[in-house]
Amino acid sequence: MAAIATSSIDTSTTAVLRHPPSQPPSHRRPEERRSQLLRQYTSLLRTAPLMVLFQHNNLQSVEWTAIRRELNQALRKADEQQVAEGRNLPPIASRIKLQIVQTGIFEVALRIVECFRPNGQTARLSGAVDPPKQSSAEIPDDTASLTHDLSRVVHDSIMNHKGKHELSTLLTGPLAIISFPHVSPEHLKASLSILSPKTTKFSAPTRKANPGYHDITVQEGLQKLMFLAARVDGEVFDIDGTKWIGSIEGGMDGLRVQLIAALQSMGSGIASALEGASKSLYLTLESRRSVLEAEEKDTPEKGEL
Amino acid sequence: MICQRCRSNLLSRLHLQHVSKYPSLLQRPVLSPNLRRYSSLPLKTMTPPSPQSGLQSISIPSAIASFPPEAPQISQPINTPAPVQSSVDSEDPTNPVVKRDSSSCFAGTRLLGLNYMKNKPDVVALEDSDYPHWLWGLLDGSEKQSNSVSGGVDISKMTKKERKRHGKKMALLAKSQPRKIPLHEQSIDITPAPYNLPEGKTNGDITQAVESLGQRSKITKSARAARRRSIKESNFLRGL
Repeated sequence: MAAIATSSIDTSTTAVLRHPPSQPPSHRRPEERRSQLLRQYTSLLRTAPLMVLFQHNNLQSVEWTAIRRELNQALRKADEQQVAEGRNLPPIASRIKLQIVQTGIFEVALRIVECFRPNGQTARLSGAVDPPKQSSAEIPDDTASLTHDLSRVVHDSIMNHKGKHELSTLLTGPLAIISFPHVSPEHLKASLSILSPKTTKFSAPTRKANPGYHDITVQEGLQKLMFLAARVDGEVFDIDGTKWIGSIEGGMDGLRVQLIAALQSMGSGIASALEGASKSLYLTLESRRSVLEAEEKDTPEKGEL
Repeated sequence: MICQRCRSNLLSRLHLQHVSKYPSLLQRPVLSPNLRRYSSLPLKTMTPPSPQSGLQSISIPSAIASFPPEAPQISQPINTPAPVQSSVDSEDPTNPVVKRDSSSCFAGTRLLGLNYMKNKPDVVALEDSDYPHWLWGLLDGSEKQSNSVSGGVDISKMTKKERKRHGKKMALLAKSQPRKIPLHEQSIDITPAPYNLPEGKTNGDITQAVESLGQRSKITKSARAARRRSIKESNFLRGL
């Protein structure tokens, strides 16, 4: 009887999934919009190594449209320039997105991505491996082992980090971000020259080159858009740092070239310094030898005399 | 050279049509069942008006070969326009791997009703080999696909009663299955964190960024569609 009971429990635990595979139990209900936004923001933060934060103050939809139009144009130009220079990078103009985010949810997503690290991974594994212990009593344990972004574990652990992230002081008020799928200084420069040419000193397109940019709609919209900060590979950059990244010529390859040049010059410097010591030693020894030789020559002459 | 040939070809055909005393026999290839093998579509939709279609169908080689021997006086003059037949024959060795039906529209046929552009010459059919290869397989998969969608059952061939019964059965089956969770109600990570990834997998490349971007927009769209549906539903219920 007991054997039958245990076997039935075993089959139930193995056969029945406690939750749908695409909907593991979560702290907040996944049907809600904020849960979905949180999912999207964590994904955005994980896949966008470069993003720039702006504050937007009551931009109208026509202004957004006009700004996005100008931005797309500039980014496509940057793509073309990349191709013309012969660097085989994928065109990313269509993947760069300027979007409004819900500040509060974005802040939470940032904390999840940057602050949460599971320390109980071994515990989760042991719970999954041991089959006879998986009874109804252990269901809360099972949910406790889940560490997806909406899970209770993650929610509880990031509660302590509220306001401790270095971006958290900036994350107030209406927020818009522009996200790049990889760190591309050219595209950053192109977008900043459209969105905030005055603060970053990247020259905006001239009236002659691009009359659409000097449209009153675009200009009024840009006045209401304020540069806040940039986030590059998890690091926060202010205006000067962002300007520096945007001014890297030739993208990551250009940076590598600069590094190699620096290393080479440093190497040659070291070599010349090391050589210099040995050279001076050689020279002193040589001079000493010549002096000695001269003395030796002098002495026999004296002996003869 | 080809034009000249075509002209003589046409002339001989026209001559034949006027002279022929057996119009019923001339029309026969159109109706004959062995012609059906050559085009999956009914001939009338593929070919321009009837006098021409009658003429074209005659020049299909196997149609000629399968002509009953009791009509020699017609098959004799028809055999004279050789070029079309030879072109069809010469096409086979070039493409021996894929054996497909030849088009019912011969090269040089004026395609009526396709001349959409103003001040442009009429659209003229090309050689079979000039069309892309996927064109010939367009109709092959459609039946199979529709069958696979409805579980190997062709609903269009059912009677009304059978269709109703089938619908009820499928609804019951769908009820017994667990609910399919829409994209905007899932709680699984879109881009899993590194600590949730299986061993040996890393994230952070551009393809993943592109993928996640697509998924995010899909979620937004799915949520939007659901919202619209619910609004419509509530509006309808309020109107009752």
